[in-house]
Amino acid sequence: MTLTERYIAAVTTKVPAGQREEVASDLREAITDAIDARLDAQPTTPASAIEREVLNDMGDPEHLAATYAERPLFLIGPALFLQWKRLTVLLLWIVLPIIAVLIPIAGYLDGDSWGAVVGQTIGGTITVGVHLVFWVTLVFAVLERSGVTARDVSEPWSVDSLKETPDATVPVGDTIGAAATLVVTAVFLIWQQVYPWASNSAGEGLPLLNPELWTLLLPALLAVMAVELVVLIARQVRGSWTRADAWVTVALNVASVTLLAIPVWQHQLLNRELFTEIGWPDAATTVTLDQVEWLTLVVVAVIAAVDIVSAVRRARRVTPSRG
Amino acid sequence: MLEPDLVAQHRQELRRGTTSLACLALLAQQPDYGYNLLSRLAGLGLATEANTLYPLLRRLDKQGLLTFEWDTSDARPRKVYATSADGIALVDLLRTDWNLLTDALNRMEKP
Repeated sequence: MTLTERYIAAVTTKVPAGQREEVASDLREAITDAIDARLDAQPTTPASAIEREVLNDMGDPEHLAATYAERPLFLIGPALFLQWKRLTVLLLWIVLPIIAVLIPIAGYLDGDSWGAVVGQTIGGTITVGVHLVFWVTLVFAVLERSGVTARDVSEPWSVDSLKETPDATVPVGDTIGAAATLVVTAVFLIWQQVYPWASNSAGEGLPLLNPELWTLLLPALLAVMAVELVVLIARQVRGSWTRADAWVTVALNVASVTLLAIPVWQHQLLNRELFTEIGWPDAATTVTLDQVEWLTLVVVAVIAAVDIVSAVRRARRVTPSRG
Repeated sequence: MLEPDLVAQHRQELRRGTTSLACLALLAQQPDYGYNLLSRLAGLGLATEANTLYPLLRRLDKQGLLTFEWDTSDARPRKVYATSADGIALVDLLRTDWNLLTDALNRMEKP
């Protein structure tokens, strides 16, 4: 088989069967005419070198086959790209936080070790994310090749889609609500220690939370909350969100959840002595103290996740000149 | 100083679409086969790659703008393309558009 015939075969295998004959005769004509013309122009060059030159100029056979078959040489073109990007980003934002919460709960209910739960959560979240991107992309690649237009999959854009307030302002209500939550939580943490609501037979007070946590974790948590309060007030005074606010929010939330997760993992968030004293959980319930602790952690983690997402979204609406 | 890459990019954008018009106009003037058409285009300063021209001729044929006959006078049979009546009508339309663009350009003041 000559080099030319090999090239033609490489092109025709990539075009629909019905077009193969015609494309092959087209190419045979194009290549032999080009070779003949060059041989006439440079009679001293060996024919094999000319053949190579001509075929190199014809380029990648698959590219040529796509041109003949009028196939797109991209996965998702400009007509559908924005719809693909928006759907992918939206689904990742919705699905991944849910997965990142569900996997640790499932792992905990199975009684897996802490390290295993962290591994499962990271691995599982990445797997779900990769699957999600893959399947959305596959669907859009098929849509692209079946002649679907952007108009078929979404409403055409109009000025109505513009955001009402491009610059995120800071509503006073949000600040007051957040500050009140912080203060109430801090007061509760101190109050439950100072005024315990039960005492043992010796008359010693039994706080709700493990008193040993006051050596480090609870003061650290109060410090994080104090920083949060200062940031809140500073933001209200400034009147707008900045990118730095988003990062600070992420850091503070991660710090709070971590400080809470450590005692939960060590089964010592709640004061075991108190619960022994009051006799709960008793035989009438299947709830364990561990479960109560984990539930608390999950609730706090979900609130933190929501806080992070909304902070990032607000900071992204900040115009660069003011950021 | 004008970047050569920038010039090449704008030239390419300006010339996009002119190849099919040139093919239809040239083949209306004189029916021809692929390789000769490549030389005629190059002679007019509209040099085109073979891997662009041959698929283009096939597409214009499928769109009914070109017709072809096998020329068997040579040892190797060749497809000789000619512009169809529809193709000629399209050339007329596009030529009018082109002249409108030229007129518009001429009416614009030179900076």
